[in-house]
This record gives sequence, structure tokens and C-alpha cells, in this order.
Amino acid sequence: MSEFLKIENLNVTFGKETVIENLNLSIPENAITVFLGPSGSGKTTVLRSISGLNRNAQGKILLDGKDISELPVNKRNIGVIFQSYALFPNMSVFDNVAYGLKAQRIGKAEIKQSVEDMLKLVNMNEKANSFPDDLSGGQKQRVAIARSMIMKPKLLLLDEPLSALDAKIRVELREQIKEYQQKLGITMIFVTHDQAEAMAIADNVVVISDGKIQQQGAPWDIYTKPSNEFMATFIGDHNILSGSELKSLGINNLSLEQKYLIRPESITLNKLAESIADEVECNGQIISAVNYGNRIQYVIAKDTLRLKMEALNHTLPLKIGSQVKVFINKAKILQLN
Amino acid sequence: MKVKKRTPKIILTIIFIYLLLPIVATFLYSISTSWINTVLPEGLTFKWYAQLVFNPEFLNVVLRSLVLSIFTTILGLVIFVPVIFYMNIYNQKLKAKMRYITMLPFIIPGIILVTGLIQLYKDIPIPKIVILVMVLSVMSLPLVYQTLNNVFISKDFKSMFEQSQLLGYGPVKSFMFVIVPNIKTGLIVSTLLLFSAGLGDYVITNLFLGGNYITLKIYMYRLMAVNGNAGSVLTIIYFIMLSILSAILIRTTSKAKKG
Ligand SMILES: Nc1ncnc2c1ncn2[C@@H]1O[C@H](COP(=O)(O)OP(=O)(O)OP(=O)(O)O)[C@@H](O)[C@H]1O
Ligand SMILES: [Mg+2]
Repeated sequence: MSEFLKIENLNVTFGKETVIENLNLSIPENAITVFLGPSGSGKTTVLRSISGLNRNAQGKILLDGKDISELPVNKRNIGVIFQSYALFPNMSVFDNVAYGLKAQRIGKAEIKQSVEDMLKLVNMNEKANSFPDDLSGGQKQRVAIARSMIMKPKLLLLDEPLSALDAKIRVELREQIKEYQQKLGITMIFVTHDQAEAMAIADNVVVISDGKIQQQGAPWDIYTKPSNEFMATFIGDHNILSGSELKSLGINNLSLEQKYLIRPESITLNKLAESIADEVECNGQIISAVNYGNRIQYVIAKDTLRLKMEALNHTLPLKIGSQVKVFINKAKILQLN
Repeated sequence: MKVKKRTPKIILTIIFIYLLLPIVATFLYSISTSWINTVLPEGLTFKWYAQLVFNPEFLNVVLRSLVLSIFTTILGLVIFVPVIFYMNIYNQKLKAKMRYITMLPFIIPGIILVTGLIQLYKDIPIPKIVILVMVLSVMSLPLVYQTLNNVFISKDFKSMFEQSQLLGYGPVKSFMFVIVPNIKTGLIVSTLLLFSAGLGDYVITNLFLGGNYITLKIYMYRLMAVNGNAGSVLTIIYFIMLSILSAILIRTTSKAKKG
């Protein structure tokens, strides 16, 4: 069902400020949808409107075909993971995870079994009797995720759940979240600032800026077919050139007034092999080189133009000032509108 | 260098003795037969204690003070806890305004407050004791606000409260299960602060109800004028009560800090 969650005409204002205006959005079932957007674009606001925590929200929200817009927070069966974990510090890990089940009429033995299973899944069964203050950030977040997943929510919203964690744990937990999603078949919306994180975890990406949806699609399409200049510059590194600038590089038969996108990886340097049919060749000079470990980013000057490109770090680095031959793959030049 | 290190200790000891001396003297006075022209009391006796404790008037006074303290405490908690909770969870912008309000009891002197209140409620048929309870609890707002607000900003209560609702509990149950256990220390401290505000007030109670409602504190001053020994007994009893309250306060707050 590709319209598992459907938002119709969502409007949110805080005082005089309109943060979300007439937002419409559909989200597929049993998949991870990532909300990606700059700070202040309204991602959290949309999430809080879906969960019912935002009391200023106006509009219709349909979950699994049912209108939930008027339901109170505790009746929506939606889980939310906060960046700050929000564990209950007076309860043990076990009691935190059991908390939601206790509100339902479920037997003690059954609760115990479910909690133990869930703690095993998130690999926290050995910490069942610890208290939140004694856990690391990553462990806290795993408990928080277990606490929400045990409720079998129709929808699980994760608002930058990994932002407070260090890089290594982030990647680990990101992969685990994806694994839980597939194992339990939960529909998730995952908010992040981090493009790489978005690309890695998403089945479906929604890019939001200024309270509006810029583009929605599979990660691959978002990257390779940005719908406008904002999308081209927001996702991934980029060179944006006009048709006339491209003409000066030897690329003809493009509209001179239009703007075009060239991704850094569509440019290569000093190839030994013959250039393929789709490539144009020109000369340039390296004016900057930044080493990212596995790859190096160069900026090449050709007259007044500047081109960004990336090379894998398996050759000797080229020195700043050296003259290079630049090859641009014409087939990968994308027209922006 | 050694002298310097010892100086603070000496100063502290002197201050301690200076503060303790009146209490010791009062205690001595409260157990002396007579102590007028001599350096030390002429004889020791507990008869003043016996006299006071078996005096039915004294029991009435204690009862009145307790009634005043208990109602001040209940009213204070019932008003302040929800307000401070609301401000921290739902409307942080109110906090700036609240800061000014909490300063008011420091700015308005008791006499002006009481005169104003008497004017205001002159024609309204509410028992004065009820108004007194309201005034006393409002007067302790600054301390109670500070205490509870500090507890509320120490943790992310907003997220915890929201999370509890996401997990299926209504707002009232969420408050009981998630907020209350985590602000327990603040609640105990506030209770004691409000209680001692009720117990310790002299100025407002005396101005407001005059001789119609004799509390422990008023009784103490009156007794002092009539019979110094009996007055001292009451002072000592009062001092012990406050010491116990303070001890509980210090223990709860230091426990909270440890974890
Ligand atoms: N309670 C509120 N009162 C007033 N304005 C608010 C409130 N919550 C959000 N806003 C405003 O709404 C806009 C969107 O905020 P939101 O938190 O949804 O952004 P975001 O995309 O989640 O940003 P970030 O990535 O930084 O978390 C911001 O301009 C913010 O100032
Ligand atoms: Mg946000």
C-alpha cells in the first residue's frame, strides 16, 4: 500500500509564523522513509503533527486508511524516538521497556516474555536491571527503540535518533535500525540532517525545505535526477554551470541560458586510456586538493571557471599548481529547470 | 602559611560560638529556677517545661500553628506544582514573566501587603484565616519556585511526559507515573519550605489576625513578656522543631545530589 500514511493539507502556524503550508504527502508501508532537510525546515514539526504532539496542526492525517487527526496522542499507536532518548530515569531498563505494555491489559508473565525477547533483539538483555544513567548513549537509544517497538506501533517516527552519538556507533545503530525494520516490518519515518545517513538507510526520501516538499523518491533518483537547483545543491557535491560556460569547455549544442549539473564523479583527470565517445577533454590547473582519506577532492581552474572533482586515493596525489587534462562525461550532464 | 590555613577555622569557630551562645543561654534560662543577679542560674528545674506542656492553652497554640502550616503547605503545593509543571512542559515563554512575579514577595513589605489585603477583602465574606493561608503560601512562592523549577530543568521532562503518552497513557497517568517520581526531592523540599513558612511567620499572622488566632510564634512573644523562663522553654521547643525540619531538608537534598 503506497498510501499507508497520508497527510492532506497540513498547516502549522506558531503565533504569526506559518511553518508548514498546505503540505501533502503519502508514505509507503513497511519501508523506511527519510525526511531530509536543512535545520528549521519543519521536519520535526511534521513529525510532531503526525504523532499528535503538536497541538497547532491543522489538516487531515490518515493512517492505514483511518483518519487519526482528531485522536489524542495516546490513542494513535504511533511510536516516536527522540534524539534525547527520554528514558524514565526512575525505572530500570526492563521497566522502561515494559512501561507501555503495562497500560494494556496483559498478564505479567506475558509482559516479561515480550520484554526479554525485545531486549535480546536490541542486544540489551544483559543490562535489563541497569538504570538509564548507567548506560552509554548508544545503549540508551537502543533501549528507547525497544521501548517503542514493543508496542508494535503502526508507524515509528525517529527524529534524528543518532545525532547525539559518535560516528562509529551511528553507523552501527543505523544498520541495526534497518535490520529491525525488516525483521518486524514496521513502517518508519526517519529524520536526519545527514545525507550519507539518509542515502544509506532510506527506501524512500522526502526532501523538505522551508516547510515544503522539494522532492520525493528513491535515494538513487534523488541523487541522479534532482528536480531543481535546490535539490542539486542540497544533495551531494556539485558543479553548476550555465550552457555558455560549458561551451567554453568545449561542450556545444546546449541551451546557453540554461543551468546544468555535473557531479564531481563525472569528471576524471589525466586518463591513460583513450577517452570514450561521450567525453570531452580540456586543460586545467589544480588550485586546491583536500584529502578525505579514501578519496581526494580537487578544484580545477580553467580560465575563470572552477570545477570540483573527486579521485580515489590510490594514485600519488597531484600537486597544487600542476597542469592536468580534464575529461567530462557528457552523458552525465544534467539540465536543471 | 600555616597561620593562613588555620585562620578560616578559627573564624568559623568564633562565629559558631557566637551563634550558639544565645541558644545555650536560652536553654539554661529555660531550666533555671531563677537567674537574675548571678552569673550562673541559682538552681536547675524542669518545672517550666512541665508547666508549659500541661497547659491546655499551649496545646491549642500548637494545634493552631499546625493547622496553619498544613493548609499553607497543601494550598501552596496544589497551586505551584501544576503551574510550574505547565510552564516547563507546555509554555516556556511564561517563565520570563514568572521570574518577575516570584520577586514580588521580596519587594512588597508585609505591612503594605496586609493593609492592602484587609482593604481588598473587607467586604467579602471569606474567613480571614483562609486569606491568611493564601497569603502565606504565596509569600513562599520565591523559594518553592526556585526549588521546583531547578528540578524541572534538570531533566528533559517534556520529552519524558510526551513519551509516556505515546506509550499509551493519558496526561494524568503520565504525570503520576513519570513526573511525580522524578520530582520527589523537589516536592519534599517544597513541602518543608511551605510548612516552615506557616510555622515561622509572625509579622503577617499577627498583623492580619491580631489576637484572634494565637500561633506558636505569637504565643512565644507574648509569653516572653510575662514569664521569661516559660518564653525560653517555648523558644527551645521551636528551635528543636526547626532543627528537625532543617535536618530533613539537608538530608533529602544531599541524597538527591548523590544520585
Ligand atoms: N513551539 C514552537 N513555537 C514557535 N516556533 C516553532 C515551534 N516549533 C518550531 N518552530 C519553528 O518552526 C520552524 C521549523 O522547526 P522544526 O523544529 O520543525 O525544524 P527542523 O526541520 O526539525 O529543524 P532541525 O533540523 O534543526 O531539527 C522553525 O522556524 C522553528 O523556529
Ligand atoms: Mg528537528
